[in-house]
Formats: sequence, structure tokens, C-alpha cells
Amino acid sequence: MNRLYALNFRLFVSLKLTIAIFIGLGIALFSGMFWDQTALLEDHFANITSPIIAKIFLLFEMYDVYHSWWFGVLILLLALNLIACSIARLPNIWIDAKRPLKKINDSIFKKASQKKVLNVKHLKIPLFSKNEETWKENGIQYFFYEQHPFARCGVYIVHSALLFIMFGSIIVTQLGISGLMNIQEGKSSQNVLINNAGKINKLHQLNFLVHCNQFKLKTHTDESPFEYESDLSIYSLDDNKSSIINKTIKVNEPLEYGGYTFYQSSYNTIGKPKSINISVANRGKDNEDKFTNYHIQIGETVQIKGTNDFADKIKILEYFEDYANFGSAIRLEHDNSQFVVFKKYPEFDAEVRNGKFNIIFNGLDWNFSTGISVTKSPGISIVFTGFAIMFIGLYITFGMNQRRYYAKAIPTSSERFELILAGICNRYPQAFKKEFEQIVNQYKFL
Amino acid sequence: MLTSINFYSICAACYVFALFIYVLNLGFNREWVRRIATTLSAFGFLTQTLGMAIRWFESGLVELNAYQLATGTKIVNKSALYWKIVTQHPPWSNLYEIIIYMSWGMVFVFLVCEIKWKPRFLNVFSLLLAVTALGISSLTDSTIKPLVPALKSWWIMLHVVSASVAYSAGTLGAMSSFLYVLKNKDRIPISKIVLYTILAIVGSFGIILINGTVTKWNLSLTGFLFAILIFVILTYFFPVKIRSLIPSLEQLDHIAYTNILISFILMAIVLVTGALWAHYAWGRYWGWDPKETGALVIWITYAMYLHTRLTRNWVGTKSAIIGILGFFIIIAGFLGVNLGWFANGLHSYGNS
Repeated sequence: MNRLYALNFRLFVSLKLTIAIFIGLGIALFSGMFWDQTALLEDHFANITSPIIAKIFLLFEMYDVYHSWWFGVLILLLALNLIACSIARLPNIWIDAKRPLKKINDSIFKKASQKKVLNVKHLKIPLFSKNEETWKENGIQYFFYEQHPFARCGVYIVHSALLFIMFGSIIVTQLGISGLMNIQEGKSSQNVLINNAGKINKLHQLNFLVHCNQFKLKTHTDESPFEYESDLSIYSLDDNKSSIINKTIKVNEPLEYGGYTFYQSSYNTIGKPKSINISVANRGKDNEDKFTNYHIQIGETVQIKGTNDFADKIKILEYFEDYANFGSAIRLEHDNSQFVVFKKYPEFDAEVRNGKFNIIFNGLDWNFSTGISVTKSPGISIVFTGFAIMFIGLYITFGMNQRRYYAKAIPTSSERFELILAGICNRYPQAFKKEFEQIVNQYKFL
Repeated sequence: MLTSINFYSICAACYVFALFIYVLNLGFNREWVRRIATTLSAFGFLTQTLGMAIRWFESGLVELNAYQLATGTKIVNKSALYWKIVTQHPPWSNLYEIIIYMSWGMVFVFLVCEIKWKPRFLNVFSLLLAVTALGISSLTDSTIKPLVPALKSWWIMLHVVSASVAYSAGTLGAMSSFLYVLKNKDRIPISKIVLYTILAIVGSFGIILINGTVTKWNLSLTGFLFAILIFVILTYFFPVKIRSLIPSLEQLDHIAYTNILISFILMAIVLVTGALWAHYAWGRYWGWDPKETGALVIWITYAMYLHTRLTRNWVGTKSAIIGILGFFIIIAGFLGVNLGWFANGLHSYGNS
């Protein structure tokens, strides 16, 4: 039993396993990029004809690679590998950092990446730094100095941060919820459609009602969305008279309630357009900006506000989705003449047509349903803590450089010393070499 | 009035001249000539930076106009809202701008290396990439369109800035690793040359096959593959001459390591800022979007590079090969998504 344990432990500590996991993860991640992971299983099978490939596809859950059993195994192996490496190496490093062997001996001198034996007249003290330690033993002067002794633990901080992120992610995916709600203007809903890649979507019921009071869409002149927002209210299930909370949500401005977060993500139009939206203003310098909005049905005639004349009526005859490649437009009748107004060119009417009024076609009025993505992510704070720890760890690992300097001065005659210098550094050897050379060069002319 | 495009043209001209001088200097090998080329590319870099600042302002005006048209309200000049809208559209929000921004990052990283280490060939390679990127950008649609609602966020700044420098540093690390491999071998066996040729041909046809059509992107990627091949063949025929021009092994390894380390740390910033942004904007910090996943693969590759170096002592050719691999993963993860090699996702900002 002990032997089996030792064997397993050795396997998990080995760096070969780490590299194998890295390669495995790389392949897994890439393979997931080739298939649309949001598509339904039927969509995938529409492209797969061979039954064998279909079986392999199902066995390896290629429709949802990142939640498949084998991806889970890889992540688990990585976690075990990280934990095993920390258990195997961290205690030794910690003890070594806390109680370093300060006295230079042959094995340290052999191991050192930088070393020099000098014959000097007098020592320049401090030898390495103000904080160096020095003591005398049997007439021999010893020196020891270590910079950033705990920098070697930085790697393990990064690794523990990764464990935090993995652990938090597991909590988020297992206990969390991520789905979509579609609510029509003026209606309420408590159902969330859960995204379930490759499988049938599930319904999740909220224990409260989400009501969409109003949906507002502002578009650019080419009808692409400029901004959209939903005015939401939340009601409890038994009392739908007074709302608990009201908020207008926009893209990048969500609503949080009851552990859930509601994000404005999309919108849909429902059925046929309600009416056509036009703005009309009197011509002439003073009235240019004084537009009045009208919402008119096709075939409907309206009297322009502030007028009584029979000729000051507007009738919409027709709507064009794309009029002669100029985009959407409407044909109107006014004062016994018919003309076309384009949505894309609001200044066109004023420039081209003579008449009493400027008419701008703002677009169609639709019934909207708002698309709200709903998430609940318990454990997200663990993931974010992991992020923070990771940057601290990265800074310690790469920003601080653990270095050790050793020296001993053996008096050879009454005036001269034999000075033995050694330095150990695991990272940035070139920079360390230069630093060491500087120390040595101090004795060049002595 | 001068527009950003004028500045980009001046900058492209500077880069082309600098590239020309650097190539000449491979044979000439004079310090003052190298200095002229470096000054010229630094000037080009400044022009490009200025061009991007102007582009930022131009985009701001477009946003301002769009805001006024869409909401029907007038914005008072120099009010708080005015500044918010003018600055919300940074010059790295569509494909055209991203390409220019990538070339900017490439030159930035190269200039730092050039001032620090003065490595030969690396300057030629980086400028070649930057010039190619600027060339492709001139064929791309450069009109400024108002930002889509999802991109109106301050996270875009840090996220994209780190991504540009991370990818560029990774690319420079890969170039340096490539030179290392060439320099390390006394003689490249002819079998390797044949292998490279086959790989280049298969690779370029593969790109075209995956994408379905021949586009300027395919052509430039293919061109880049063949440029590397030509360089390898040149090294085969003039081994002594070219190898003596390549910087020392120690220096190349140092440059590759430093660049890849920086790229690794910046990729961590890219991933984390992306995750935070996605969390606050869409409610999910990680969505396995192809580009996200691609960035993660790059990060894992570089993690592997660092681990093998530190704990298995894979310094030299072995680690250089992982460094080179990183470049192809960057290309797949960064460009591949936009070229439609993978499933579509949030980051596909146009493929024209």
C-alpha cells in the first residue's frame, strides 16, 4: 500500500506529467474551438454522416468539450499535479529560506553559478550589502547575504491561485446558473432558459417575477442599434401589485437581485410593426427644430398638429424595406402629391421637396421582447481572489530575484587575505553575472 | 486637414526605408547606419502614435454625431458627457484598427529590443511584419463606425493594450528562437530543408483550404511562411556568412526568454481583464469563446516554455522550438478566429 502511494506520489510530482497535461490541455482547447460549442446536438449531427464518427463524437462529448468527462480528468490531473508539487517542494524551500546555511563550504562553492578566488590587501566592507551578516570563526571572516529569500515561494503562490480559480470555477459551473429570459413589453416571467450545450435546454424557475415595463431602442441611421434598455420591475410571486425593485438595465449596466444578475443582452421584435414613426416640422427658420412625433398606421390619415386646413393632412401609403437600394423608406401623400421619404437620409426631404413641412421618417414601431441573460455565480469571489493572488504571485516570482552571496576571507600573511566569493542565483543568470563582476572588479587594482 | 490615414502613410514610408537600410546594413555593418535606421523607425513609431491619437479623436467625433442623431439631443461642447463620448472609442475597435495597432505593438517591442540589445535580423523580421500589417490594413475597410453597445466599456483599454504588446513580444520571442535554432546547428541537413519546404507548402495550402477562398490574409500568411523558407534555404547555401551575422546564441536565448516571459505575464493580464469585463458586461467570466480559448492556449504554451526551462533545464534548441510553436498558436488564436478557421464568437470584428 505504501509503495503504491509512493509510486502515485512520484508520478504526480513529476514534471513529465505537467508537460503531458499542458499538451493535452492545448489539444483539448483547440479541438473545442473547431466545433461551435453553443450549437445543439442536432446541428452537429446534420454535418456528421458516418456512424462511427458520430459514436466517437458522442463518446468524447465533442459538442461540449469543456464540460466533458475527459476535460474534467485533465483538470483534475492538473490540480493533483499542482498540489503534489507544492507538498513535495514547498516545505524544503521554506526551511531553506528560513534557515539558510550561511557558512560557505566546498559543496556550496561547487554549486555556485558565480565564483572567484582573489588575493586582496584589505576588504571593502560591506562586501555585498548593508544587510549582510558577518562573523569570525577561527580567525576566518565569513560573509553571507541573501536578497528576497522568499521569492522562491512565488511560484507556489501562482499555483495556489490557479487552484483557487479552478475550485471557484467548479462551484460556479456546478451551483451557478446561466440562461436567458425573453420577456415581452408589459409582461412578466419567472422562467429562465438554461443554456445546455448539445443537449435539450432546461427551464429554471425563479422564485419571483420579472416584469418588463418598457423596452426602448435607439438606432443609428443605418438601423443598427445605438443603445437599448429595458425598464424592469421585480415582484414577489404572491403580491404582484407593488414592486420590490425597479431598475432600467442597459448593456454593461445590469440589475442584481436575490443572488441573480440580469444583463441586457438582446432584443427581438414580435409580430408585425405596430405603426410608423414620423416627425414633422414647419418649414422656416424659427421652426426648424420643432419636430412633432406621429405614430401612424399604413393607410391612416392624420391632421398635422396646430393646423385646421384640409390640405395639412398626411397619409402613409406604403412602406418599403429597401427602396432602390437606398434603404427603408415610406411613400406619403400630402397636399395631393405623393413622395418618398428615406430613413437613411433625414435631410433629403428638406433639400429636395418644396412644401410647407419637413418630414422625417424615424422608422417602424414594433412590439419588442427584451432578451435578458440571467446568471447566478456563487463562488465567483473565489475566482476573483484567485486572480488577485495570481498577480501577487507573478510579481514575487518574476519581479523579485532570490540571490545568495557567500564569502570568506582567510588571512594568508599579516597583510593579505585570500577572499573566496560565491553567488547562487536561479533566475536571470546574465544580470547576476554582471552584478557579481561588479563586486569582483572592486578588487581589480588592489 | 491631415487625417490619421496621412500619418499612417508617413509612418509606413518610414518603416519601409528603415527596413531597407537595415537590410543593406546586414552587409555593410556600420553602427552609424544602424542608428539612422533605428531613428527612422522611432520617428515612424511616433508618427503612428500621433496618427492613432488623431484617429481616436476622429472616432470621438463620429460617436458624438451618432449620439446626437440617435438620441436627438445636442451635447454642449466640453461638458462631462462630451468628453465621455469623445474618448469612449479607442483606435482599436475594428479589424482595420486592430491590424494597425498590432503593427504599432510590434514596432514598440522591436524598438525596445533594438535599444537594449541591437540584435541583427530581428529588426528586419519585425519591421517586415509591421510593414506587411500596414499594407494589409490599407486594403481593409477604414471607415469609422460607431461602437456597438457591448464595446462601450473602459475595460477595452487595458484588455487590448496588453493583448497587442503580449502578441508582439511573443512574436519577437519566436523570431529570436527561430534564429537560435538556425545558429545552433553547424549545418542544416538537406532532409530538413525538404521537410520545411513540404511543411510550408502544406501549411499554406492548408490555410487556404480551411478558409475556402484565397484572400489577402491567406496570401500574406503564405508569403510569410515562404519568406521563412527562403531564409532557411539561404542559410543552407551561405552557412558561414549568415551564421556569422546572426547574434550570439546567449543573446538570442536571453531575448527569447525575456520576450516570452513578458508575453506570458501580459497574457495573464489579458485573460483576467477579459474575464472581469465579461463578468460585468455579460455575467459570465469565461465563455469558452474561440478567441478566449486561443488566448488560453497561448498562455499554456508559454507556461510550458517557462516550466521546461526552469525545472527540466530545456535551455537551447528544445525551448526555442516551443518558442517558435508559440508564434503559430498566436497566429491561430489571434488571426484564425477572424479568418473563420473556428466557430464564430464575440471577438470576430469583421472579416473583410
